[in-house]
Amino acid sequence: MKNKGLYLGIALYAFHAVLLVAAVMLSISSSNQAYAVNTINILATAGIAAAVVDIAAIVLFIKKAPIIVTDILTWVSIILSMYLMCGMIKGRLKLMGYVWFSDLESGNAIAVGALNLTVIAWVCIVIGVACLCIKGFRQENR
Amino acid sequence: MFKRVNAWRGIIYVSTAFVFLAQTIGAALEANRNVVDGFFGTTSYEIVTDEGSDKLWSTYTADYADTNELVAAHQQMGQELLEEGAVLLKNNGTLPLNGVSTVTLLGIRSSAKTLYGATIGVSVPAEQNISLTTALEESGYIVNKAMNTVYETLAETDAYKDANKLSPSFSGVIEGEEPSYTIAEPTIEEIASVDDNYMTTISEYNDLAIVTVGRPSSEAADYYPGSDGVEGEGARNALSLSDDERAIINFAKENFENVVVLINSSNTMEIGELEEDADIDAILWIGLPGNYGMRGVVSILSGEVNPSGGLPDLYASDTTSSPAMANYGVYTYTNASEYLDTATDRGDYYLIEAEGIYTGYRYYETRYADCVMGQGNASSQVGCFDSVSSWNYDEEVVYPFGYGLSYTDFEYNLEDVTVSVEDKTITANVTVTNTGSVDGKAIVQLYGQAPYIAGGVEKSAIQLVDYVKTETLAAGESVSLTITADLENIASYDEEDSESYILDAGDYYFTVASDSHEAINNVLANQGYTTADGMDAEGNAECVSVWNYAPENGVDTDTFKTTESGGTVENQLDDADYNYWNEGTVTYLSRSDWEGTWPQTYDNIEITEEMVQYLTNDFYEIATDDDTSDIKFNQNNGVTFSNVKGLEYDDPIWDQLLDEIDLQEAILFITDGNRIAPAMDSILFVGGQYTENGPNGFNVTLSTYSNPESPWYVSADDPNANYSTNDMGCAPLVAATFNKEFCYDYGVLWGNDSLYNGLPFIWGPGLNLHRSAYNGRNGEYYSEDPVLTGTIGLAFIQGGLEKGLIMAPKHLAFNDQESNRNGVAPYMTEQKARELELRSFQIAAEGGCLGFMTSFSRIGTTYVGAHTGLLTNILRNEWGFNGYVVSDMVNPATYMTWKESVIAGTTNFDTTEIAEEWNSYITTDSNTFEGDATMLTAIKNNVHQALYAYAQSNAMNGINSSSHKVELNTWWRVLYKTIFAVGIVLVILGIAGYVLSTINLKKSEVKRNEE
Repeated sequence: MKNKGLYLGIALYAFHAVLLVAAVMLSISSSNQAYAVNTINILATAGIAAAVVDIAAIVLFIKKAPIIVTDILTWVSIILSMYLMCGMIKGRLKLMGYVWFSDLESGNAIAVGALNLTVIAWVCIVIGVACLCIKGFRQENR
Repeated sequence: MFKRVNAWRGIIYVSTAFVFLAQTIGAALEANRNVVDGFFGTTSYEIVTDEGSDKLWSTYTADYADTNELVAAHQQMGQELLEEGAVLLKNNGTLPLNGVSTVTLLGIRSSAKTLYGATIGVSVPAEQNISLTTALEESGYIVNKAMNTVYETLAETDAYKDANKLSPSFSGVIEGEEPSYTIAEPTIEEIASVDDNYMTTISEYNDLAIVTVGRPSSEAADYYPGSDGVEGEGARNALSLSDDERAIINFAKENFENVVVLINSSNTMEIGELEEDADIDAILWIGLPGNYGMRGVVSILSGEVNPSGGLPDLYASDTTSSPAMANYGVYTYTNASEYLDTATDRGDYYLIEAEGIYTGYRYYETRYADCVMGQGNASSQVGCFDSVSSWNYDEEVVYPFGYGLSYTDFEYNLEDVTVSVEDKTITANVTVTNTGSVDGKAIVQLYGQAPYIAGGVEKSAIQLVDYVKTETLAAGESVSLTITADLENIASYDEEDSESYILDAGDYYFTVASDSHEAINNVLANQGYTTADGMDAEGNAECVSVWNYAPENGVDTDTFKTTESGGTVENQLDDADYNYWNEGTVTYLSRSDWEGTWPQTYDNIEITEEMVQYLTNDFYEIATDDDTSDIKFNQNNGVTFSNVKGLEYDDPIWDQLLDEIDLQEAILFITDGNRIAPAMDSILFVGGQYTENGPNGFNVTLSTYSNPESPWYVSADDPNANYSTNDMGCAPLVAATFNKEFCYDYGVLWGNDSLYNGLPFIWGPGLNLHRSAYNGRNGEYYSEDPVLTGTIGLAFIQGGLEKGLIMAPKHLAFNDQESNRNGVAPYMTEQKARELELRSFQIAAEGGCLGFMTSFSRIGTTYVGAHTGLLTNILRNEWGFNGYVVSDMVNPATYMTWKESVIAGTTNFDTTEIAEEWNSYITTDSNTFEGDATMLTAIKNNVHQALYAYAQSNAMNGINSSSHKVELNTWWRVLYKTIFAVGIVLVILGIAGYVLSTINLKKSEVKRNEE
């Protein structure tokens, strides 16, 4: 039972880290395609930092560090993930308006593609954060 | 076992996520709150003026009792616009219609895909459209609805559903292959596939076939010449007819006795074959007619109204034959990657306008004149497109500029012309006689020719200097008119020597004519030329007046050196010429040698070291140690914004007001200058939603921003609450009216719209010129001629001002193409810039215009909004303009550099997303500029300029010294704030719970271990 909890915890951290890295790559790619997000560098840094925090949490989790330490790291990871997500929402407000609520860019494959990449990035972040939240409610003994 | 500590941990995590989301969504809602208010019908703020104080709503008042009257006025104006502006191009006597009762509409643009407005920019609300079918039926004609149904069915299919789009890319970035335009016209086989009984219905409605062909117009899109720019069999260009279009016209010819073709396009098309086709009875150009224009079309067809429009652009046989087309499209500096970051600098693209002043009719008529006079190798092969052997006007041109038929005939007599150099006027007395049998209006076009000296300043052989449209003249009636034109309209800009407009010594010819070609023929006839010399018609030598001017030294360089406002004219745009950066690279077209100077395509231009700082948009260094003690902010002089209502620009009260402004508020006012003006509490400037985009009218519904305080408030319950006033025909149609009085009235109508909409500013009309037929945005701009563009625009702007509407014409300047419009660099001579594009803006500025919107492009290497020569030295010092100058949309456009633009005189940025660098100016307590006297002065000047426009606008209705802004709690504001607050509380509770639970857990574990 304990091993199962350990594996699940590691899996959730790792899954979140992978999703965050994917979200960062998608966000950068989206920003490079059209309507550059001017804060993309800091947002990408936040996303990568979240993934690094996940890895640190995994290591500490395995080494059975005090739970409060991994809990704080998880919280930091959530904060960084949400920072990335919210930054991309702010950076894509206009493009959403142009593509979804007007004719301005609805026919522009590049602009639509850029927004689609951002949407996939958001989905990745939401799933990743949901994993960590679930883990929060289900913290298992190690 | 589920432990409490797990619950608290989970609550912390989930709440944290919601806090972030609530904050972000809240910020998004606040940033777009006027749109959100409009969408949800909420009010997030209001302007409060204390009770009992002088609420003045009488400064500007509406002409209509309610919105029903306003809407009725729009419907009437929309119809009259077509009646005044539609151009009858051909008529073999079929029009006006006689004995016609049944009509079949052929071509998908006759019914299902009629182009009422543009795709983007000058779009019109589809739900308000009056179709050609409806208009015909309203006038008693019986329309073949079965054929309409066929087209409506086909319009739903993939092949035709996007037929009205011109592949817009709002960022305007074209990299790699240029997009092509697909000519979408159903074939007879496709018609039969939907309704195999179609021939039967046609036989029942066969009195008249109306066939419509057209091309869409759109912001953020262009046409491209040649077969690569078009999908459509048989079309050599996107603006040519395709075989499918020819087929439907031929079908009409074969099956109907009467065939009328409507040209539904704001871009000129290649329709020479229709003109020559004897089986086509009539051709009527209708532009993009707007919501109600089709009623005007039917009025003309039926003869209820006699057409009186004149073409605002020359119709060439081949639309690529203009010398401007040698350099049109996407060109990238060969060494751009060495110096520039494409994404941020936006400096990679350029355009060499080697055609000089010879665009539109100026080219065709001048070359024709030189052919007749046998000068400058004009008859050579170069530039021949449809000419069989040597260059031939009649083979290259289908319809000249100003051309338009009527159901009657007019005779023009030029009684005399007086030129006053002192008053800078040309006064022509003209008699016009309706010699036909039908009542009608005539356009009297006054043209001039200045003496050309080979090797000297380039001059068009003929140019419009002014015009007037008569009232309706009864058959046989004569009217005497006086036209007083600006002498500068015939002057030439000498950039080499005097650096000002000049009048060379010699004979100046003036004539009145029905179009540009008749004008040059009149002048040539007066000069002794005949058809024996190659003229295609004998001109009317009697209709010409000659003014001989003999200034000292052979040229008058003084008359225009000092402007009306006291400014001194000198070169300001030397850097607009690529030769300034790289001498001897560009050869500009000269009529002294058409063959030797015909434009080559400049597709291998390099960036020089000197150009880099401008192309990288960083050429102003912020000073740190200036003495700025005399530049005051945050003073307490007891003046508020309401005290400057209606004051002159140089009234001393302004200085007191400007000294009171908080610097941070001033910077935010300039920076966040989109449709919502930030309030400046320091001077009780309340700000708020003040403008909308709209070269075709306010593109919002009447109730969206209507002011509840005003007598013209349109509530959500008003029967016309959802009516949109951007319902008129396109700009070329307005220009084609050649009617300043009509345009003034049209401007007054917009002024009324402004009062009902609660929006005192509007970004429009468009005053750029049609450099070529291929600009996707020609539908927003009036004409290829600067005098027609400027005077029509000015009449319109002055009409708006009568109601306190500040129109900010766009796009100052040089928006010659939409391709890579964000930062594209047009290069040209200063003569071309001043005599053509800037002339129209000059006419507006000198006539009292109080606002401008700058373009996305550069002039030469510099973004136009940051070009001090253009925005300060020309616009303000020479033309005497005071007012608001807003950038085009910044989202964020990094090349629209803040500090350089503010120094140059951009008063506001149309910002929707403030760049990081700009944020630093706003959020650093202004320390950035505290040691820069030039910048601080520019900030104050720019705020002064913009506020001056506000102070003259109907925004001052209802404002007094007590007015201030109050934020209101809307449900969406309460919702996101509540989620945010609850989230914060839950995070805090979660942390507290987590800590306590952990402590308890530890205690339990210790206790358990002890046991």
